[in-house]
Amino acid sequence: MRLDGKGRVNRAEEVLFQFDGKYVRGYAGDTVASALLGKGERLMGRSFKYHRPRGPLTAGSEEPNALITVGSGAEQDPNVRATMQEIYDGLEVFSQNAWPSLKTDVMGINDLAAPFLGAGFYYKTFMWPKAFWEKLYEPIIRRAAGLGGLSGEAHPDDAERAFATCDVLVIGAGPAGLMAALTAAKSGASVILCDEQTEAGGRLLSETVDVDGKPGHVWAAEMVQTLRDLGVRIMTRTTITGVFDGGTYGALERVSHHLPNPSADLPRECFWRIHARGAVLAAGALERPIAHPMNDRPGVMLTSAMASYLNRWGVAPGKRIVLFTNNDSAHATAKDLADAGIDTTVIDARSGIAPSGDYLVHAGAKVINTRGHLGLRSVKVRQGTREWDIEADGLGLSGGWNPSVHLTCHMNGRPTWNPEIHAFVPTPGSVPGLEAAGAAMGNFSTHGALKSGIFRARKVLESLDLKPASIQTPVADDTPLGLAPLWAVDAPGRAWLDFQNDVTTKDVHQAAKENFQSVEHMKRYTTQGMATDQGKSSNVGALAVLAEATGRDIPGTGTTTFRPPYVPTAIGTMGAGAKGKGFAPERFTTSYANALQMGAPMIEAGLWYRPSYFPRTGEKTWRDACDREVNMVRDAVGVADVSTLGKIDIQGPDAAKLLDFVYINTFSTLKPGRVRYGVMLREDGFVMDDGTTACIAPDHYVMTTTTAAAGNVMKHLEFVTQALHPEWDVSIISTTEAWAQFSVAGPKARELINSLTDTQVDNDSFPFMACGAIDVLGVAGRLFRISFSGEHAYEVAVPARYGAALWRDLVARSELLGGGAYGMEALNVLRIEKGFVTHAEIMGRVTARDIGMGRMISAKKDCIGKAAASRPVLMASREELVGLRPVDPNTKIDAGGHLYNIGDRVHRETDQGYATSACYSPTLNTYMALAFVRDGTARLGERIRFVDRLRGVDAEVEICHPVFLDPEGGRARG
Amino acid sequence: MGNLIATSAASGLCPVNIGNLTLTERTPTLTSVSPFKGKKTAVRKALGHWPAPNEAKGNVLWAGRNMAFVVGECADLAGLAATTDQSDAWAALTLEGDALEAVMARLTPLDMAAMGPGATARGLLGHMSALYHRTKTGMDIYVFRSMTQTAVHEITHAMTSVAARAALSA
Repeated sequence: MRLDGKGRVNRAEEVLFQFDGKYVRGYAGDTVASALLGKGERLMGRSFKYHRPRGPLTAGSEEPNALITVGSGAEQDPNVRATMQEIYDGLEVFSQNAWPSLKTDVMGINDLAAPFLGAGFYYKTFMWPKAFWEKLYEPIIRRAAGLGGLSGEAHPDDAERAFATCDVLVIGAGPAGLMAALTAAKSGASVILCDEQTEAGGRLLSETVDVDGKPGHVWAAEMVQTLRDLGVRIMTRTTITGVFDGGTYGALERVSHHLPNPSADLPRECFWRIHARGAVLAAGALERPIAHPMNDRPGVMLTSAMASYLNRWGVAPGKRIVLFTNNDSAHATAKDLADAGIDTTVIDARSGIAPSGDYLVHAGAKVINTRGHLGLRSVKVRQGTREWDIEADGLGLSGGWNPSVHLTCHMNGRPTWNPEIHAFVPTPGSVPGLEAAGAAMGNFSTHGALKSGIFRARKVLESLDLKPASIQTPVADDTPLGLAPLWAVDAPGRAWLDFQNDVTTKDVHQAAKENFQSVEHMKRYTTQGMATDQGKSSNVGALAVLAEATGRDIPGTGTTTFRPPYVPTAIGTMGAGAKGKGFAPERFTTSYANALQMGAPMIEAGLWYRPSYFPRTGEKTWRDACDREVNMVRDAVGVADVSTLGKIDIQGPDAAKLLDFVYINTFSTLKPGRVRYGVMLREDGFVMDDGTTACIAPDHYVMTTTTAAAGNVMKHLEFVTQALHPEWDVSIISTTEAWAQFSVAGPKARELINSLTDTQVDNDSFPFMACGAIDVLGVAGRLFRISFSGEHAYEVAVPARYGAALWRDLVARSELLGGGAYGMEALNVLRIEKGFVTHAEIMGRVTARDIGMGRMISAKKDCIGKAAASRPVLMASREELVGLRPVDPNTKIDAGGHLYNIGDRVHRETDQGYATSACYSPTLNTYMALAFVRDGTARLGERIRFVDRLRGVDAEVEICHPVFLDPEGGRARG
Repeated sequence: MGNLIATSAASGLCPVNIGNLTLTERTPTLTSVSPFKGKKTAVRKALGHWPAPNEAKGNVLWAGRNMAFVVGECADLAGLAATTDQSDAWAALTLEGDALEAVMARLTPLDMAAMGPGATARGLLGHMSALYHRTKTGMDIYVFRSMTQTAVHEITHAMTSVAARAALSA
């Protein structure tokens, strides 16, 4: 029910939303919970296990009961707290875990079976028969229990990722946080102030307290303006979710959850990574309930929640209200309720307590039961030997306050028990650079919070070598809490500790009795403290009950581990920015657009997109295109984009030394205008990469790497020049992207090249493995006579801006010569026919000797990996690179198949090797493969059994030399 | 002999105008300069400047360990430094507008407060690496040419999002 003249909602602006399909009217500024309570609706959900009717327990993000689903279809968001979801016109929300409706939920029958469904019930009951668990029991239990569901579709809304940096991060904008931010800002620090609520003020918005003679919320609003003027960045609707190394804080900002028809460009949420040199945790404290029988009915909530609904949203939490407390904070709320004209009674467990306003107090009394199925109707009270019922539709519980220590535990810190306030407080130093202030540190009075905010901010500023400004503490109330601990009422009946997971005091006792006495074991046995609220209202109460059941004290019992995130956070939000094209950069060559126009399917090579083949009319399969492209290169001329290969420019007087050191073979003898093939090893003696290096000029080389290892080789060279030989005068830089480079291969390659340039080349001026500058249609380019196909071939390079133009030109010219563009498939066939290795062969487990290049390791110099490569184990009998030809040339053999001696059992112990690359060779009209076979080079001509269990192939193949075609290399030299 | 037509890295992708934010492409000559041992003073003399880490002096941008990029014409440094033509290796983009820092906060973890005019930094742009140069009027962003399309997509996405937020408070 709404109360006139109370609250901060805008009565002039009505908002219409739907709850379970029914229209509900609220006001701008309402949450779903406050709007429903304003209409007298207390029932908002069903509990997890027993499907008991529940209303909101809290007014914040710690809410365990009032979980709703927002929206429907792909956009549905489950498990949203009704206490946090702001209403707007057109909002549709749904209750969860109830069927057919919230009021008549058939699964409520579980509640009748509650005596049998206690802690450990499932583990004990559904043991046998074993096979039934997965097929029968688990699906039934899962359907009966549960929270909201996912749509099963991809969420269409985008989340955003962002970064922020500051000197001081202040977490929480209550009295302590506001003063901490003020102190830091006035001291010259850059400050970010975060609060998960819609406006700053914290408890000043929910309570009737004065600060400096002004109503608390007025003082807060003025302070916010002051902070803005000082340049403080105030982020509302933003929850700090986690603390990570190096002063990094994760923050979840709700950007458009509260907006009707938000722009499609607006993210739903933003996940911030805030880097702060120091931080003040002013996240306040969470009130804890008292476990008494039947303390979970709709209408039962925390006293602080009642204060919020009354003062912040102008909603009466009932017509007749009982507050059950063990401390003084509830009396302030009792006075507020009484002042608002609500019939209020306080049941105070302490004796000798008098009312501080126009309400009734029963001191030394306890609530021992309640009535009312879908909503509270009455409360049973016991005082000494006297018991009676009080008619009430609202019951406020106040068992004291738990400082929000969560974030201080994210880096393995454990909180400390403070016996004076009967609560855990943060252990100083748990998070480097972070100080807890105000109620989060156990300073519960307004004055204490304001003062503590200043003091803790000063400590942070001093640690940052900033001189703290002198700030006066505003005048405010300083009444202590006066708490006498009361965790559970000793009376028959189920007393709830964890409302979300339906854990009662009996369950905790049961766990203790069955020897689950560690708090971590109790948690897992009873499920206390799990799911969306992570036990924010129940953890301390549950461990207090466990302590009593096991005869220990509370600090001796300890807490479970607090982990990020502090509030439920969508995985999609944590991974924001990585959706769709954000997942990984796409790297395109200059010929990409044209290759697409030619209909080439693309394959990914690392981040690059490369054409697989270029289909022509009438070609039905990729093989048709591939075979044609191979024949084209062997018979006429083909062109391919090879720009993706890494190109590293190496210059300096010691450039040759570097090359000699990283390659197994010698490069210091390479003359300008010449290219040499080289192999480099890792420190452990295995092959890292191969490629060619060209000598452009004295002390100036261009190294080519494979596409896949370009980054690794660059990193390797950085390591060598920075760590191993920093004294060498050599400079390296990647020029991969600067040049568009195309392979021109085939008998007519020279004819094509000469059509592009005035500098005519022939075998004398430009023999195999030559390189040099060349003008290409008026552009200064580079020409390399190298071949990865075994044909007479060139690679021609021009600055990348001319790449698209030259590619189209090359394709057109090659087609006139009876050739054309070829893709990765043909490139692969061409190199397999020639026995050239790629990373399919040099996959990190082979040595130079294994690939037949052992003798390339120069005896005249040292190189990286040389010593390790000569280890006896690597010089002994190993699998060596060979070729394979099926006895029947039409038997398709694939990479991945394993080899066994004919007559041997097919078994890992008899394994002779495996195929790494395979293709159909249209040149030799046979399938073929490259393979590693034990002592393979000594077994050429031998027949061996090829078994590919994945593809069902079992065939005889012949071991042959890995160079299938033109072993003398006449074609490339010609 | 004929001529080849040049196409820039962000050809067809820029300019992008969203609200008062603009993303444009420039095509400057870019030369990497890495002084040989003992030649840094001579290089400074030849170029007129040699920047400290994370700064730009004149048209010389710090770009890494013993490495600077000269934007525009570069003096002849033969014998003094290793130089390579990097003009075609990078897409040179310029982001300008009031909400520049808000857009940058969505692209890179770099602290913009520490990047006043004249600052340079190597940092991330989404999952890519970039070289940033804060100028008096905006942010020059250099990314690998092959990743231009992704970079423009990421930057545009951030610009769109920032503009949508600005529209909220407007």
